[in-house]
Amino acid sequence: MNLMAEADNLVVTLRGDLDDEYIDLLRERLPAEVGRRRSRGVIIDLSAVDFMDAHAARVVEETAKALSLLGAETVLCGIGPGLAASLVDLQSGLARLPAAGWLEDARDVLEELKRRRRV
Amino acid sequence: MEREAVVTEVMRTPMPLVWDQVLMLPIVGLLDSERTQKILEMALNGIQEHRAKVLIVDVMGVMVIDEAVASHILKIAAAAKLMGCLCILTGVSPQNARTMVELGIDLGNIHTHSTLRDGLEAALAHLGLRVVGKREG
Repeated sequence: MNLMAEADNLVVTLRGDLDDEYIDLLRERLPAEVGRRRSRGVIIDLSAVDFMDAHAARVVEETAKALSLLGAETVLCGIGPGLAASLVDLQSGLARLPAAGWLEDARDVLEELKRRRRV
Repeated sequence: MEREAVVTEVMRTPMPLVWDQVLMLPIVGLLDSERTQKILEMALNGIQEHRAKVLIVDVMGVMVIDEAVASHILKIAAAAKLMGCLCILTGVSPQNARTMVELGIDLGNIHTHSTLRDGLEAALAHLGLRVVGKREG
């Protein structure tokens, strides 16, 4: 997975089949990076992901909760029609996370969430 | 034979882009599981294609909003939200509003308006826009 720092935000780009090994890496690596960098915001870019099973969806959801405990807001972006429909079928809790269509929008949403957190 | 023609016709109902990034999905007539699936696909593809931030689902043409229809609408709204698109419901008639309450249907957080006009205003507000007369400002 690709991690890119933008100011005090992290953009994580996930790709391809999110097999167990990959998804466990996310679960460990992302909170560690956020902790290390003291990131305030994380964007998880799913535009290169066509499918997620229940396990992958759950891990992403739990990782977002962990990040929240570390003081970081998480925004999902790039979810396409197929992935959106299958996540709804799975009744995934990911639907409760803030989401944006594109990266630029995700940045705006993230800044707004961070602003509210500071109040 | 006639019903089939109506269903086919309705499946080809276009989704107008009523404003930049505001897509409208008119739902008309009878909904079976095949149609609801096609409508969902069409709506989500439309959201992606137009980078829509708001999807106005208009149900003026739906005679009865029962649990099945409500469930379909909730599914569209949840999937749209995952794509960063807000769902606004319009065209709910007073009769349908009563029916939904009687059936205990809960549309959750979906913003609902009885008229398309109000729904459009809400959609524009979500985008940070409002309509002003030419003589103002």
